[in-house]
Amino acid sequence: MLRYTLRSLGGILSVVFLLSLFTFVMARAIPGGPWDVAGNKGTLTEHQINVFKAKYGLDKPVLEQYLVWLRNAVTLDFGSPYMAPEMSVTELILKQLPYSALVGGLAATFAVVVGIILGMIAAARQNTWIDIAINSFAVIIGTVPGFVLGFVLAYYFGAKLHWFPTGGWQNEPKYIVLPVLAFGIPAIGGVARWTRQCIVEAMSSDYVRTAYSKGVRQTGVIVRHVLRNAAIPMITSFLPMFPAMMTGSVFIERTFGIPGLGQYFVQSSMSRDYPLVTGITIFWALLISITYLVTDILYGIIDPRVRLEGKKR
Amino acid sequence: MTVVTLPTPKRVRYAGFWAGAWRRFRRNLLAMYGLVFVTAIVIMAVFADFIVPIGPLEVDFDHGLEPPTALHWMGTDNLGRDMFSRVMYASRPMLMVGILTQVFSMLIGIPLGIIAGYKGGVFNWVISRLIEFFSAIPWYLVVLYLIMLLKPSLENLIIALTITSWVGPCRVVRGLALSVREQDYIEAARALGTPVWRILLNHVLPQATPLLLWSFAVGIPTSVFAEAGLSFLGMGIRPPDPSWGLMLGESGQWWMYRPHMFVFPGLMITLSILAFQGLADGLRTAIDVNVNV
Amino acid sequence: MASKISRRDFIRVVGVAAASAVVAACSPQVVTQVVKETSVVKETSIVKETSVVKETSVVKETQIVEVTAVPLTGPTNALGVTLPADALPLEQQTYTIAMGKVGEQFGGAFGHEMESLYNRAYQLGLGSEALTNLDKEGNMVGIGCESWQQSSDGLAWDFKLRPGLEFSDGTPITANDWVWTLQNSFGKAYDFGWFFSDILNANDVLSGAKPPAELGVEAVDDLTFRIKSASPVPYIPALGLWMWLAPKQAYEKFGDNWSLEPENYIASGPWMLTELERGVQYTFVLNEKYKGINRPYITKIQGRPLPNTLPAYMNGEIPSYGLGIDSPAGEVGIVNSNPVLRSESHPQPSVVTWYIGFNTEGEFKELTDPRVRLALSKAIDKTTIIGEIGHGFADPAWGILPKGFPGNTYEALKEEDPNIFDVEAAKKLLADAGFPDGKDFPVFDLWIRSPQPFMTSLCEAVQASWKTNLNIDVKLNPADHPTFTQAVFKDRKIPIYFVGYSYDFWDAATFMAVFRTGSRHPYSNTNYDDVYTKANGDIDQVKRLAGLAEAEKILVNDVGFIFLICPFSIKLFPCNLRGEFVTPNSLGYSNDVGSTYGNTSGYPGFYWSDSDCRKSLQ
Repeated sequence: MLRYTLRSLGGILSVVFLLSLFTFVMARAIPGGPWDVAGNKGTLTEHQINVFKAKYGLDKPVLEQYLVWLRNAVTLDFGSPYMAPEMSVTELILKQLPYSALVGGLAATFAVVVGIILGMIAAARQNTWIDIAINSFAVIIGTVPGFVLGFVLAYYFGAKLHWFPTGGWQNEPKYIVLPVLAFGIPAIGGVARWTRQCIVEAMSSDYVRTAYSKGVRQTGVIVRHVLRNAAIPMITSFLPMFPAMMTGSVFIERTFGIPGLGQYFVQSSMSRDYPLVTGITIFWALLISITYLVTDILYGIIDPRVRLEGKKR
Repeated sequence: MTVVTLPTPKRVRYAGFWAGAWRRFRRNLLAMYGLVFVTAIVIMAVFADFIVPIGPLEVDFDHGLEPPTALHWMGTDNLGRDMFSRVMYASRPMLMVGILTQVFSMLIGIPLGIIAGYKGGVFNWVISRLIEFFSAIPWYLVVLYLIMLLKPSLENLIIALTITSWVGPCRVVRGLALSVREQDYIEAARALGTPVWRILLNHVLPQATPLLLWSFAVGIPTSVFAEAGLSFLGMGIRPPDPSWGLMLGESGQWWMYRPHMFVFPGLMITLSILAFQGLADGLRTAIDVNVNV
Repeated sequence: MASKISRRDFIRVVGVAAASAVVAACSPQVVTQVVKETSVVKETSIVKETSVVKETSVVKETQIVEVTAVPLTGPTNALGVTLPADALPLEQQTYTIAMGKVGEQFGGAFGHEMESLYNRAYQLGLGSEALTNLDKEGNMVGIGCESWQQSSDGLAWDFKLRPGLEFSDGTPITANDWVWTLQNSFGKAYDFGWFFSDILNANDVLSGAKPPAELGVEAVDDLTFRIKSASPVPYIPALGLWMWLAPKQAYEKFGDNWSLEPENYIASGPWMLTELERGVQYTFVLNEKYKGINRPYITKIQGRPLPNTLPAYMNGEIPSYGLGIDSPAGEVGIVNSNPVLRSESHPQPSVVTWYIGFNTEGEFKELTDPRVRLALSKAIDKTTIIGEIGHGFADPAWGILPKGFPGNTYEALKEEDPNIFDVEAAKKLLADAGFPDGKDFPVFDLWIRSPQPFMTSLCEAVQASWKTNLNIDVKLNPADHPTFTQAVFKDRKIPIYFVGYSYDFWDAATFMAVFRTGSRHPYSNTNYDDVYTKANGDIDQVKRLAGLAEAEKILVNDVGFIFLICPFSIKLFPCNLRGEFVTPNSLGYSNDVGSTYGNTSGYPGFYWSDSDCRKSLQ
């Protein structure tokens, strides 16, 4: 287990290293730069651009810039965003992440809770009209993009009924409801279908049949065997949903105007804010890789049958 | 969440295979919906010039933001352009991005996958790392980053999406090639001195066809979503060309009191994704690909 | 937000909007507003009752709500300003600035306006004192200074600073601070630096060719700030609008980012940064140490990520919204069909003129004949065409200076010969020039620079007028910005073109300098050059303006240009926003709080009143 963890960590670090090199060099290799998109396209003179470059060290060779950056990055210092020089990239990520995490975390929780309930109902009523109805609902809802649903919700509950604000962000609870729903509802589809499938598979497995044949009561079978076995694929699938959703959906954040990390990523890409783009990319890559690693380890703990050394993702 | 387990390559394919597939496909309601809708959309895209009475770029300032009327079936947008016509024409970039992205992904992914799987060695190692790399980071991260570098446009959208989605078919083919390589009959073919490319072409690729077909189909909804989403963010199709996502994004100022501005494009995005999803789903049952979604 | 931003606004101009009613609606609805007002006040108190009675009586006389007539008996704010009696409590005197469309609200990299004008974290002109500003009539007033004087050789302006001013950290403000501000800013390649190119050595310092110390600014004594120029520049005080004092001590103590960190913020103006949360909000409250004259009623200014949209305005989320010639017809329709919104619509003065120019340099000999040009001008019925195309968002242009712009002689120029629509006279002129009924007149190209719909419509109308009235054909040729500039102004090979010019600073020279020989147009009139140059150098402002008016008249009568249209915008602000600043000025314009005149320095002269006039909106 330890060897596996260490090896995976090494793999993650090498991926992150390559990613940083790639994002860093590519961004600078393309002509133009942050100075001609930061709201003053075409108005800056050669001299002003040079002053900008000198200020941020962009006048140096790319490789040298990268080495400087890498040296600082080891200590988690990713520099300052051009758009917000009063803070560091790390600070900015930590400051804006809570907005994304709040919306995404609540949305993921909502989706998982509702999805599991629906999935369990469908599994329990296998091949009845309830099962079919839930399954159809799950398929359809799973295909609605969050930003489309966002418009529908904001129009109906915001503009029509005035229950919630139509968008924007103030630090008040009422601003969070619609984004969470718009983000969470489409995710229900996948959760419900996966839950149903896991439970159905667990129910039809040999040991369940064996347990029944041994005369164990149904509730006992379901609790001890079915749920326990269904839980493994469920946990390993649903767990990565949280970090994935908590890092923010660019689309939901744009629809509702949430000042989360996703919006910052789009914003920084558009204005070619190198330090911020690189910082957020690496942060995301790290977070997601670590999630997979943790999931794998958890998998091994819950299900001793899985030998991590040999596992392929 | 797509886990692909490889089919056992022993299956014998006979002439009736596709007939059976079609029979199974027909039984899937969602798949049939998908087939009908996609056909309709394709017809719409191809013959848009003849269908719509008003050009998608024709501006009429005296009739801006009008709700649906007999003349403008889906109302007009803020510049008085006919929404119906724009919705029709927007099927073109949608189909182009959706299908071309998958075509290019296949063109890149299949050869790389076959070579990686069959040849192994350093090449396999590099491809595996690339596959891992692209599966590890969210697609939109890469796409947004590439769009930032390439400037938003239809072509660049296809390029960026191809770069993120070629790993799908590549992984499928690589896995297959890896397993096929050890088969006796390949060994025999090799012993007979059959050239490698012929082995690959005659033995590996046919086995991969159903899987690839499914992989092709299942990739489309993602690309459609990506096109809509990125255009919505202003990083996809450039105005004034119509795109559903772009129309949704442009409705940002007026949707509150002119719901037709978001309802029709939003509906089309959803219905299209559902349709392509249905097609993929139907294909899966039809050709009996053993995959978990 | 001088030229660049306003110009960009116009470049953005998209549509010919409908409904002149927005303008027409402006006077009658004031009455409804007041009627509603009376009903509210009756429920409240006697003091208010009397105040409103006064208001109503004024309305009857002038159709204008004179809020200044209200006795000052409201609450007193932290700067010692007593609010009028109908004011809401101090806690509610907050002005909200929509930080912008979703996804664009993060703000820029700079705080202080002398670091960057275009890439800023929060609204312009809150925490810093400007050197000068314009009052609501458009008159120059001193803010950081009390008076100014041009030297006898005209090469220097001395600004007498207002005594007793200090930064919020208690440091007194001296001329050295102004010198440091400009030197520091120009030495760091200030992106708005081009605006100040009249200052001695400004361009060289900006381009790094000379050290900041050589910039033509100096402190004569503690309270005398001198700006020098290479040749006499009469409008230097107008440039002072865009000079904002920067605290040297803040840079030294806290570094370059002091203005982005509330705890380090040092104000020189009436506002103080207390909160800056990127993408979420920023807040300015009154700077209690402020000693200047820019004293607002309101107590708080906050930026919020609210969309700058009509629905948001109608919901009361944002306090201002603009409609223009670019506004979609649907939106204009919404405003027009709503009595409250109509009552809240206030036309703003125009700051741009669009015109047709002729290449008179000789390549097109027909156009060098003044009779031909005069005929072409007299064949256009500007009043009707602009009324049609402007849809209430434009005035016809009679000269280059828009109506309401300093030094304009709009009404007088209307009577000049080229501006009088007279088909018969035009026909005769053309016949005299050798083209009876347009016979043998060549088909010229008319180039349009990156045309927006209203421009195309306008040029089509001109094309039609010439065809109908003179039987002359022209070919419209839309071109993108760079191509147009290259062909028309650089290569100078285009016979007729349609283009616009918008103000850079609040002085007639901003428009007029462009028409000199060798400036941008393929046109030369030495008579104009002489009159303009002589007048512009005149230190006596009255004589100068008279001379400039004379020059403009020469320009109009030479018909090197046919001045066509001055689009303007309509600003909406809530009817419960009151105060002398938002009441109409002598020209009938009600300023938007975002201010068409001058800069937004300080946000003085308006407050939120206790009124339910917007009740039916929500």
